[in-house]
Amino acid sequence: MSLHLDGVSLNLGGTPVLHELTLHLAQGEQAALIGPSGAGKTSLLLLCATGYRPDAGQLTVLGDNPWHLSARWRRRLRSRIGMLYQSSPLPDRQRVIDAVAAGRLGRSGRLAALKRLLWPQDVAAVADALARVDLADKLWARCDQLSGGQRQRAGLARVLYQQADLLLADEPIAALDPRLAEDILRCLCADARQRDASLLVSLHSVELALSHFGRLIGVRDGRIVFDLPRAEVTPGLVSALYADERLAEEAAPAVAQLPQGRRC
Amino acid sequence: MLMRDPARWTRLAGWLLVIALMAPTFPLTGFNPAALTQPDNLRTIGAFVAGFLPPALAPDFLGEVARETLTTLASATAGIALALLLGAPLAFLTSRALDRHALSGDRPSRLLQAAQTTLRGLMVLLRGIPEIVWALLFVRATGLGSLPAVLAIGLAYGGMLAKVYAEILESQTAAPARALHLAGASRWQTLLYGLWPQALPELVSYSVYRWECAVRASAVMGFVGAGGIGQLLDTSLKMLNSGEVSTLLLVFLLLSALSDAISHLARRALANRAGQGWLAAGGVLAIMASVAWLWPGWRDSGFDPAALPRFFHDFFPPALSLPFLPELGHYALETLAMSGLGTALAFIGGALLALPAAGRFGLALTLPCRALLNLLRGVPDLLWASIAVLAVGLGPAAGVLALALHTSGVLGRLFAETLENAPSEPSRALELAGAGRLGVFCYGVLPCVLHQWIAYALYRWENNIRIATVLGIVGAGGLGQQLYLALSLFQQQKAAALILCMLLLTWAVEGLSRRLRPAA
Repeated sequence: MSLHLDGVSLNLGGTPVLHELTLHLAQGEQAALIGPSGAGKTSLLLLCATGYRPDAGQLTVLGDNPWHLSARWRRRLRSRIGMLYQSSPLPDRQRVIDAVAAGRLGRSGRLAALKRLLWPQDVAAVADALARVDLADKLWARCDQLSGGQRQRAGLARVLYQQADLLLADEPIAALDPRLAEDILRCLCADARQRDASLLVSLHSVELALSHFGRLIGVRDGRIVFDLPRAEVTPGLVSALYADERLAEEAAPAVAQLPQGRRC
Repeated sequence: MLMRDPARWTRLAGWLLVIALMAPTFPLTGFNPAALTQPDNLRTIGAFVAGFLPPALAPDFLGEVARETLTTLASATAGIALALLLGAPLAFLTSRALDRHALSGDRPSRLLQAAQTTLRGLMVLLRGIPEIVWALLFVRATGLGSLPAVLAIGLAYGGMLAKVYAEILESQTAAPARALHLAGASRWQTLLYGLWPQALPELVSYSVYRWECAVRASAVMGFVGAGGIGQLLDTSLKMLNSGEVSTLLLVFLLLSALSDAISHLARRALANRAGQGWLAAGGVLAIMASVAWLWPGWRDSGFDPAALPRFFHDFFPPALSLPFLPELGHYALETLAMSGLGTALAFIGGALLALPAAGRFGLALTLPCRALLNLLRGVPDLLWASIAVLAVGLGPAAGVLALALHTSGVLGRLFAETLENAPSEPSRALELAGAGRLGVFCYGVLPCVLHQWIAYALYRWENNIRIATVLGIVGAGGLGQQLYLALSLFQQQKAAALILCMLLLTWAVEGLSRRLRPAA
């Protein structure tokens, strides 16, 4: 079992964000998270990425409860979890090769990480990851020379290079044009399938979720509303999930998101 | 696909250049980090620092400290008054904002332009020579006491005020001045009715800021015998009386904080009419009180103004003879090496202190590190230099140590600010991908802050070259030390050559940095 949540609750800054969630994801399984903004999708993904500690319930990630592990073993666990963000958190002045290489920091020794910063190592594998997102020619470029879409693909290349056993993606295609969005999703799904990794993706577009994923999980107000195979997700369910979205948005608890914006 | 780093030779060359520039600084300055850890040196320093507690609080000593503190404040205030008397007319005469040909289609007057060029040259010279060098010269010319400090601040800051006042006038909207000029107003009238009203707050604000700098400057002028608490500090340091040194250091830091607060208040008072009145009255009163406080000393010093021209006449012509030139080059190189190595060490020290000061290792380390940074920054470089001379002996190594300590404080604070402002997403993402601390720092933090750190360090280096030229006055090597020696041996022409060399070095660095800055 790749992900195992049993009655998990999360409070952020005193506000309840997730309420007694129960969710299982088998090894190699792929699922999409849908729901209105402010539903708690980002918090749920960060919780699975061990970014938050649950306030109640049982959380098991790749066979371990991350919060029962020592810091050292938690690092090892984290190196097996790959996360893709809505906007790739790559420093502007970093070179793409280093940004992608950073995906394996969890598995390399301290000195090795320093060494490859001074003199690039394992170039072929990094180049291969970039080639898979059609960014091979940007290997030696700096991140601030990339367009928004290229930057997002560089972020994907980092996750591909990491070769994680659990892939999490938080609205990875929200700001991209439709063709690029399609490409990125396909690449992510193919990579997970090929390596038998599990994949959980939150998406704003129900159409894309329906066309790429066999299993859809509807989240609203920090609760799972439905968790069904694609065939059983009816238009009625979807419109109920997004009903009064604007009202819900205003009333929704403050969902913790990684602060946006790139400044460096 | 290109599998080899296309920038590899540039990167390698960059590293080699850094090594090639840094390696010779060690033999040039004789700086040896191992010397700091020698048991003998450690014992001396240890005993000296251990004596800081308790600070000396004997009543006669405290009385003397109070007197000299007042003298320091009075010298700064009187010095700024002199600088105003010198700077304001110079600014009036040289500001392009008042030139007829700038305000209308008149033809520029040749005579005025020639006079302005001469005056601008004088201003460059006045502010180019550091105030501590002026003080050293005046101590030789007029004897010990507060008069040299006042004259030094007056001349050096007069040159600075003249330049900045002129620039402030030039930065105002020209329309009112132009209208007045076209209506037939004279240079004076254009200033008083066209520029004065709009420029006044900025002019006063800058003058108050300069006063704050003058207090700090006057506090260390005692190191060359120009009175104030610097002179007490110099004596206590030479006697290794650490209790007194610690009292004086505290007084120094308090004085610095006090002038900072007064300057802040004064600039706030500028905002309203009543405040302006109080400020003007307070300023005049402070200047009168200062002169009254210093007057008895000046009267008894037996200063003969007629001796000044004779004194300065002896400096000409500067000793630029062939045998002395290589020697001069060597000391200039030594000065550059001091500043380079000092700044490089400060870069490392600043980075090491900035990490805990920015809260990266928990709150328990944050506050002590911030306090340490404030102390390093708050104690001026000349003071660090005289302490460093005690620790590692006379010579450029002491200068390196002093620059490294002071600049660590300056850079550490700037570095910590950059760290606090750096985005947290890249490092958070790496943490969640299992990266260790070092990995997160090198791949998530450093790329966000490094260019800023390097820019700060280069800017500081430029500043440190200027400072390195004078640190030798307290024995910490470089051009300053030779100047001190030459003046002690009455070799005025050699001293003039050294001052000329200082000026050239500073101007060269300034010009170079001005040229490189837009490209960077």
